[in-house]
Amino acid sequence: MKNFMEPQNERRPDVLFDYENHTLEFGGEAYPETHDRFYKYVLASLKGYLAEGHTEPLTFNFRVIYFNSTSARMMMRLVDHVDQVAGEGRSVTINWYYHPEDEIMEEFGEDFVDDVKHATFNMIPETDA
Amino acid sequence: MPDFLDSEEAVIADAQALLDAPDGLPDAARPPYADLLREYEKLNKEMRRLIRISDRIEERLGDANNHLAALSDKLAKYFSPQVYQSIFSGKLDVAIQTQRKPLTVFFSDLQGFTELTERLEPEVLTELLTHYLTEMSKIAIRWGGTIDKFIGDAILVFFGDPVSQGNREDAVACVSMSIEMLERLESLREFWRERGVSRPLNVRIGIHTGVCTVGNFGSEDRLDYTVIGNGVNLASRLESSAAPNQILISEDTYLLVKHHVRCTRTDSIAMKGLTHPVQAYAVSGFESDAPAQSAVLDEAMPGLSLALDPAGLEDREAAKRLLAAALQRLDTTPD
Repeated sequence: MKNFMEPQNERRPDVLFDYENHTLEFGGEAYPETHDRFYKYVLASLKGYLAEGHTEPLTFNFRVIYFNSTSARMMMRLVDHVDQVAGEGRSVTINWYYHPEDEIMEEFGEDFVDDVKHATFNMIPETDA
Repeated sequence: MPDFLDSEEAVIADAQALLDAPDGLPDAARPPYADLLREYEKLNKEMRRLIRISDRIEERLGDANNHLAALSDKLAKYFSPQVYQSIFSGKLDVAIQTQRKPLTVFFSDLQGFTELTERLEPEVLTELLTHYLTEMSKIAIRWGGTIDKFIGDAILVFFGDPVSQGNREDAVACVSMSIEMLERLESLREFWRERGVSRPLNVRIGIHTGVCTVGNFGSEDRLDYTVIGNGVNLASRLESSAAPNQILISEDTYLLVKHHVRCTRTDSIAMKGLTHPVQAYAVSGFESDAPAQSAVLDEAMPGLSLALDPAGLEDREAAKRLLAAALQRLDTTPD
């Protein structure tokens, strides 16, 4: 699967899916204008990669500063997809980075602690997040 | 408090009960029904989270808006209201940009203020200056003047930018503002005398109308919305030539305001850089407050055109002779 590398622009988040190294990054400010089209590509790419049936440990890092509702929903779906493959036996680690003063990102991450059933979910406060 | 998704939760509970009942559903319908219920539960949970997040984001935006509003209120005090409005409405670019415009420029200065600073306690001096500048600013703002800056006790105000009511109207507003300032100063003087400031507050005012350069001057990092040019220098020169509590205006301003205010022609003033001295006029009040006979006459009809400005007359006797000759001609010429 070809890597999916979309560096952030003014409103679009950093989406850096390094499939060769099984490391996924989603970060920055996420309120893209053409969110339907953009997130459709993101999801299609991830689903394609997960369907390939790799067994190597997978790491997904979230470092989001600001997001709109569409992006929140997208993050839920991304987490849901990788949690499903974790349920099928693959080792999956989700790192949720947030600024210690960012209560929204912290609260959003805490909800995943309850929802994520199979993957390892780490809440990581980071001053430069 | 009832849960805002309680009806959806009730639907899920009923559906789950149906799925759990041994005879609730036909066998073929169970798997898709279970999938449907799971997806619906997931959606319901996501909706709950999204609504909560959306509320939190809205809260944060509200806080950020309040913070910006408070900050902008503080910043507004550093600008003249017109300049502030122009920047915040997007009419004025925050960039080095200037233009030539006809403006009426006002300059005022408190006579003997430097001496006063040496005699008064700093706290009293600050209070007095704040009181004076606040009262004068209120009047300037009410008349639509753009307060350019305070230089110690001196005030620079101009009319005609960023908002102009017309060249004549701007000049009239500026002179009217000055008259009101002098009136207000009388009560201020009394106020401070009662508080032990024995030396009276006296102001000198100079006004000139002319084309000036106005706009954002400065560097890329620090801009100053101001006015420059000979017009400003002339207003300043008129101010320094004025007697205590006198408004001196240039002839250019006088020609625009003569129907509205009473003026007396004074000595002309030599200006550096100008070959001819500048004719000045001292403002003594509103025309509407003056006795009728001193009013300016400006009438025209077929066969007669009369423009009489008693204050502007250089030779009153010659004027009387001219008018007498005109009357005699009317009497002696047949209809």
